[in-house]
Amino acid sequence: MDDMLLLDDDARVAALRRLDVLDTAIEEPFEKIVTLVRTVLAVPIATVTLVDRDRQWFKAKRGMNQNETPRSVSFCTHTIQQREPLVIENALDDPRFANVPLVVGPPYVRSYAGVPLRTPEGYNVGALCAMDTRPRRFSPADVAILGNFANIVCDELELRLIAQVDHLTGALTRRGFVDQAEKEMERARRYGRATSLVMLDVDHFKRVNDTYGHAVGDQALQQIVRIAEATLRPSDLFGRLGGEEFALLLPETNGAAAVIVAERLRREIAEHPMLLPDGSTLRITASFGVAELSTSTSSLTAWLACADTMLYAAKSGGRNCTKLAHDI
Amino acid sequence: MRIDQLEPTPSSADPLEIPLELLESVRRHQSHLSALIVSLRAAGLDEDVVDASVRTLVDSYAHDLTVAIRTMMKEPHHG
Repeated sequence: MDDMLLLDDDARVAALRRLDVLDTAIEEPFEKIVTLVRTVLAVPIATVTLVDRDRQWFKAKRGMNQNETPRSVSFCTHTIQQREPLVIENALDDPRFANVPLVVGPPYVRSYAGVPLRTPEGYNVGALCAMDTRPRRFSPADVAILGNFANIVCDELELRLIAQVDHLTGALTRRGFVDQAEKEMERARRYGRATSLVMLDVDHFKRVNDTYGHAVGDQALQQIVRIAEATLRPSDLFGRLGGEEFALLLPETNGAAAVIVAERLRREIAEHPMLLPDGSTLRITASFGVAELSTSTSSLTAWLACADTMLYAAKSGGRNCTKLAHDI
Repeated sequence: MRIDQLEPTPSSADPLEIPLELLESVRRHQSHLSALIVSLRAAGLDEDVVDASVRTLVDSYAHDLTVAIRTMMKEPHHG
């Protein structure tokens, strides 16, 4: 089961994007780790490398001028396909690497040791790498040290992830959702891809809290997130904006397709009553507002406001339904 | 457990209580640091280099942990 994750590159890239670390500024912890790797292993080059869909991007680097390279010519694209470290004694002897730009040109890599950086979910999002400009046999002790440094890198990445998660439900926090949605919005604009935003609000939630208590209200929110996780794709963003209000960002999805997704989620929520502690059941429903990103959408705030207007229209239209914005 | 109770003790850290949601991750980090110390010593590194390396890492982590906890404290948690 675990190794099936190595084959699912879409889910792996989605896990990487959830970390919200690609194309971010220099950060001290990672800088310190590559400095220590270089010193302790006595190598001229050390990197924290993240493997995106088509490129490898260096979160931290020593002895490497490039900020990124195509993934197809990288060592790390091979490292992330396995659980164990990848060690190359002499790149010129390996047909996978003998002719790649980092070997035949600066920095003239000859030997490589890379340990996969694994997320808590089990996806290899990159590698901690030590490279030399001469052939070299990395000892088991060297690889063990590199592995332990890689664990520290993963701890740092995990810390950022936990801080973005709403601990009641497991959805992204408002801050986490907004941070990631802004990046996704920029990506959609850069590549001209359709992207949609959906807002969801639990119907009569105050009544649920007042009648059954906050514990049942919390259970309702948790159930909605469980259903959403089972219904949505790994690349979709799902965040709790506050109270009983959630937002979904659906990349590569136009408004009409987003309505289909929202309707599927709405039906799943309505068709799965909650089991209460006394054995009775409680039916929960939710209303949805959908807005596709358009050239006139000025900001994420404006986009959220548009979806929120449609959510209000769904509430006014009788609840437990979905409304799509037609022109924003 | 508080941030200033991490091992080794950070050079400078606010005595912030570590929330339950972060405890497992923090304990894992502590265990990874211990494993790193063992592997650095096993490779024959000078004790001063080991100490300096680990100090660097724990100070960075304590700083990031402080930021993460303060971020979490600003988020609403109930419906």
